[in-house]
Amino acid sequence: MGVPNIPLRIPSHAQKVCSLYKRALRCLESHTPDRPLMRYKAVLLRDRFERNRCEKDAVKATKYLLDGEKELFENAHHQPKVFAASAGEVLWNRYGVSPDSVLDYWHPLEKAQYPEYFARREQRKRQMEQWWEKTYGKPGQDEKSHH
Amino acid sequence: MCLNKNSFWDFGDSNKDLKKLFVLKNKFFFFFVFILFFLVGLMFHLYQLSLLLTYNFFFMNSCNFSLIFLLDWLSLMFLSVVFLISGCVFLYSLGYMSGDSYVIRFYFLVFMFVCSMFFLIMMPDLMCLILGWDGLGLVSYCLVIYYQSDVSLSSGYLTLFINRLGDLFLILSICWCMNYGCWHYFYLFTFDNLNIYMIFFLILACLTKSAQFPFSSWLPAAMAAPTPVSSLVHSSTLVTAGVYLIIRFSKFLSSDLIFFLINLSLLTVLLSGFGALYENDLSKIIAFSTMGQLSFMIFSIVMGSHYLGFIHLLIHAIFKSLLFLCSGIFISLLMGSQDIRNMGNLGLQSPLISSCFLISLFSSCGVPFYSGFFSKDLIIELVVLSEINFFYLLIFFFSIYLTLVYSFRLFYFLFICKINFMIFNLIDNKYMKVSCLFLLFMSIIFGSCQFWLLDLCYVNVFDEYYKFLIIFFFIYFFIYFNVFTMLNMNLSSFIVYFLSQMWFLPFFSSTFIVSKFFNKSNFLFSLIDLGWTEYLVFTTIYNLIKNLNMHLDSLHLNSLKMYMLSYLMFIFFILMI
Repeated sequence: MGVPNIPLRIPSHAQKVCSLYKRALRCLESHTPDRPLMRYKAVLLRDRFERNRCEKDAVKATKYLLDGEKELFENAHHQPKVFAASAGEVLWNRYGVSPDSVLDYWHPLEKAQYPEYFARREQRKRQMEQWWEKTYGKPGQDEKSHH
Repeated sequence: MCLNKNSFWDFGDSNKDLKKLFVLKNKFFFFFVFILFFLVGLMFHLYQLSLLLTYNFFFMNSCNFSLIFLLDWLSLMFLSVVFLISGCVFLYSLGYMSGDSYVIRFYFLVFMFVCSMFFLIMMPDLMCLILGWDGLGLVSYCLVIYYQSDVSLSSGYLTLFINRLGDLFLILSICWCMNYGCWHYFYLFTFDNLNIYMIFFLILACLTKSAQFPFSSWLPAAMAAPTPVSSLVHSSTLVTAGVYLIIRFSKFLSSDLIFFLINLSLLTVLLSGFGALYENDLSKIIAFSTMGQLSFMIFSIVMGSHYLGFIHLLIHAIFKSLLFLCSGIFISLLMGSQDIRNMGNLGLQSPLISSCFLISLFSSCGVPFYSGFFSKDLIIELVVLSEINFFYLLIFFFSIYLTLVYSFRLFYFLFICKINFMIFNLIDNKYMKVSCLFLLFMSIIFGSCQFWLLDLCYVNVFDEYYKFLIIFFFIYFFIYFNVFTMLNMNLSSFIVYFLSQMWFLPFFSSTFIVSKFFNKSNFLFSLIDLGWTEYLVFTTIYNLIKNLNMHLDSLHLNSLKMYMLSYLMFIFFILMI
């Protein structure tokens, strides 16, 4: 979501295999809604990975990995099973939360409807400023505010 | 201390009873209006009456500005069902939306929606009808974007733009109607035939509202709205507005238009059937089912039985809203997850709502003696009786078969599959239950009730054993699904993707069209706005002034250094001399 796919590290072969295994399991889960059947298929999948676990030949191991990736791509589900609160799903960002600073931009007439709250808010802002200056010092002359 | 952001709208927690009172009052008002309109509608049908109420605003230079209300059995029956469903939805939302911050806005929007529907049904005037028509489009947009996520916004825009397209067609139709000198469509009925363009644009407007083939991408997308809204808006009111207008103008359908509508409705049935078969979102499956039923209605209207289509519309509205209400409860039981793969064995976990869901599902399939059966069966018989192309008949029966398959798939995933999600938040809200049970009662009796009360009789073609064929199909699917394999397993090919994505219709109706305009505007932007003129005239002068200012600023800020420097330079010059 918005993050470019820049490789930040070089994963080892083992890491790639583990990632493939995890994604394959997720794909299996999407395809098989029946949980016991899915567990049975997951065991078979694990067995396929375990069979080539002790492969010492790097060329062969890489070939297995690439074959696995290809198979996963070919069997990818058209609607993968994702959690409802995941990014882009139905529950994601359902309620936009406006920042607290929006309250400072209310019209004085609007603020006057909640006098107690805004009086306390101003008091707390002052206290916060005092605390900040006590801890981190006063702002310089060139600076207009605390950062 | 916490301040509610929504304090302008909200009555506050202390006035919770006020909200309940507001909704309960509405509910009883709606229920009262339902009974009133239903009984008056029956009376109008019995005596074949229609009543026009005219309210004159003013009269100037022989130009009469008036508001006309049409009361006949079609409009009264339709309104009674709308009020029944909206009353139940109000009551249901009292439980479903109780934890929501913006609930009052929600109630207002739903109320405005019902008002728009009232205007749409009651106005026999195309110019006044657009008031309700536009209101429906606008309020449905506001309801789709009720949740503030990106998904809701994009769905809302899709809904809005396709509905706007429909408005455009309707306005074109109204423009043509000016040739006849009156927008009142009862006056238009005095003509034997109307201009083909006018009717064509009107039919196109109806197709956009009823989500038929080229314009159907918005209906599944609009499921981003809260479920009570889907129940009211996207099953029984908004989408049926188009069908209602087609019924009104069915007299003027020429043979070309009939051919056009048959093709489109059969295409939509296939599209929705395949879409529902490969879809995993519960709301979207029901939306696809709605789309299929709408094309079924349009097909029956085009085949000549528009009253039967209308009765199917009423019956469908009731059982489909019940289906949506039950699905809303399932979704909240599953903590907001709409994926049917997460559901399983719901019958054990929520037996009452499951039985409501099953009954409405059976109704939509047309299982004998549920309400859907009474209209659906007759429509099938009528289609068989009519002289129709064999190929069309084949597609028609295949689409009915598809309805059965996706309904059984839903049944399988929801009730037969093993438990995939342990439910702990049991919903015990009396308002939700009461509204579901009331609609359940109506969805059982309403079909047969309509046929007894309206005294409709048609010849039966099939033997009565054929009508139980559907039950044998269910047993067959049960064995097929259990013994062999699940339907959407190991079918991850391009074809499945194509079918599940509605034949790429959402792409063609949004990105495909919009991207061309975006590219063109980007090109113009780079050519004109960011061209040489911009660079030479604006950017250069701006940069010149900016750099000069920065330089002067730096001189001003370092004034002491500058004085010292000028003093040194002065001495240097003196020494030079």
